[in-house]
Amino acid sequence: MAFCLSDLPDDVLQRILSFVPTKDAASTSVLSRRWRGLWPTPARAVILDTRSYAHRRDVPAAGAFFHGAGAALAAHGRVRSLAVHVEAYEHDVERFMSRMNHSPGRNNHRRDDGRYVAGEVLGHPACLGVEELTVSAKLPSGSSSPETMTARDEQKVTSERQYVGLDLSPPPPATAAFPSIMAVRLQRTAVLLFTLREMIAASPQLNSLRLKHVYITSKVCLPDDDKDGNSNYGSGRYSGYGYNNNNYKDDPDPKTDADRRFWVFMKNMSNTKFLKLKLGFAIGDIAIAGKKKRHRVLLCDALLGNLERLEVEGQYNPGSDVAVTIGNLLQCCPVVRDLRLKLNTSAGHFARRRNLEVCLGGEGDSDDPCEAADIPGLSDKCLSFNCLRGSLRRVSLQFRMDKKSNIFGTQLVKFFAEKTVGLEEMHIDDGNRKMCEHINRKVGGRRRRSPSTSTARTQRGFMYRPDWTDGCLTSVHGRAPPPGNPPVFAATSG
Amino acid sequence: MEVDKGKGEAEETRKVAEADRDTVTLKSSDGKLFEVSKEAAARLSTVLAGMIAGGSIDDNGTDLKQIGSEALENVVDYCNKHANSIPSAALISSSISFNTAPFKEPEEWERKFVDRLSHDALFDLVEAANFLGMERLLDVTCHKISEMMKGKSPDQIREVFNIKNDYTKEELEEIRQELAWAFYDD
Repeated sequence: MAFCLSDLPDDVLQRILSFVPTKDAASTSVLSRRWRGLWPTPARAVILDTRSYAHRRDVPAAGAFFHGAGAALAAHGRVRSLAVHVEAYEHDVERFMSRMNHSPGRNNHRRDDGRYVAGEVLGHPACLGVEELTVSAKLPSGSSSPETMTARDEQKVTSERQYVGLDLSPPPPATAAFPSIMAVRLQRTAVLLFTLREMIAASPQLNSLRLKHVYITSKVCLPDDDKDGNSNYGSGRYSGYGYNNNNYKDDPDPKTDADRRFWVFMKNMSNTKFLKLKLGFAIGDIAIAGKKKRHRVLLCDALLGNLERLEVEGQYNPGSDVAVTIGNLLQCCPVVRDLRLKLNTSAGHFARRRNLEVCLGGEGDSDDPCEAADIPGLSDKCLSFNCLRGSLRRVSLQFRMDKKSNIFGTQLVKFFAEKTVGLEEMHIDDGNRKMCEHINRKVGGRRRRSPSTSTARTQRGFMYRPDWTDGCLTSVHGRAPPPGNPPVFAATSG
Repeated sequence: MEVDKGKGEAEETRKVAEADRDTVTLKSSDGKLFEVSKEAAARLSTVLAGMIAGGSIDDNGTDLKQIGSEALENVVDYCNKHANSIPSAALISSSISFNTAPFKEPEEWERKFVDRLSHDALFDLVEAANFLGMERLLDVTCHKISEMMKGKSPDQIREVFNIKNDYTKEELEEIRQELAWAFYDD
């Protein structure tokens, strides 16, 4: 006998409805008497999805979308979680958003250019208590879940500039305009730098900010402004920041401006505890090195003074200042406990640099020809990283790099293994395991050649405990040994 | 780290007393027995955690009369897969609750896990998860059902989920008026 969905208990049905786009969820009231009164659900989650309004036409109807949004929000009274998804082909999104001129900006500071979707919705009184905000845009594809998007889709999205405009600036007066927001997730969203900053500043509870392929502009870029298709959005597929130098001639050179914008943006996140940055560009591009004044202005100790977990993903280009960027970040995060770095090599860059010999030996290995080169920008004596001396417990390094760039990975492993006083666990994942072989060889070699290094390690209260899988090193666990007990250097071959 | 420790301790105790095992045996309504790791069961199911803590676990098979063997097999399968999918328990049990959202998107393996189920098996699994207080599994299965409802008209939903419309015409019209915005372009 076939199972009837109505047989499930109320709370389970409501759990199901809380995952359904709000318009579809509300319409389940007509299914049968059983379903009446289940919506709105106690989860107080509103999911506004343009797909709900596109059954019969290709272009989502903006008027209906916002009418429905208002009604849905009003029905909930007080919304806890708000998600806005816009899905359409590029020209449809532009038409969709240009239709929004039907509600001209009530606030003088809001530009009447039809670029804002989520901002309109966020202004609703029911959203005052929103704790989670998700905004995302994507192209229609065969699959309904964004997770299954292929790289080609992503590329297409990038090249077709698929972004939802977002005005997050709180209505004036801007004192804690979003008093309850704890988590924000933005995906393929274009957002003005200053409105994002204002929004963060107006959200005292914010402890989680997720930016994925977010295009942060310093100026609004109207869809109509670059019909020539020669726009710079192609390189604007960044989470964390974007720049545009096409539409505004007075924009400074994006190369030099990019780092400034990134750090200015960071300045507004001092309350954030968890930060995940997925950078679609070379991490080195945001390095602040050398220039003392610039250093002082853009970076200051404890810039991210509350950050406990930092995840950074981006491209590693040999010859760029990746190490300096990592140093910059470490300097800004004095209490970070959990650090995850994910580096990818972009094709074509790896041939530039010659192989540097690196090994995991400690300072005692000075006579060793394999002595690892210190990393300029990280190992400089003048730099001090509070997090390494205190808070940092876990380091996760993930590399998707070619063999030569793995040298840098090995340097990073060495750096964190040696400099982090309280390190409890280190994870290394190099995908194709080329680096494993590298570390493998070096660890083994060092052990044979200079047993004194394990003593050096002892003083730091740290030991390697490598896991061997198929004869390859896949992770290195460091554990602080119990006081009084001599630590054991436990590298063994498989 | 804690898991390692737990395993080590469990091995010790197993040597001492055979009765103190690190798995629990569950018995379905039709009498089939399934073994599942005690640690995973306690972590994923509030009900099993309560039973383990309260000592009401039967070594010869704890009776779960409400759950059929197919659903229980899926529950045990999920528990085992969940344990395997965790790269490091220490990373997961980080002191920071980095995602305040009550539900995160299903992971790839969870998606595959529910995708292969028939409708009936999926609904049975929802009931089992609900009965055992398995929040995550309940979320994953409910999310799957929600995806089956997305973008469907009420008529289509009734057909797919075997729901009988027991409204009168007048009542239907009343609701449609009330929630007119939700029926735009239907």
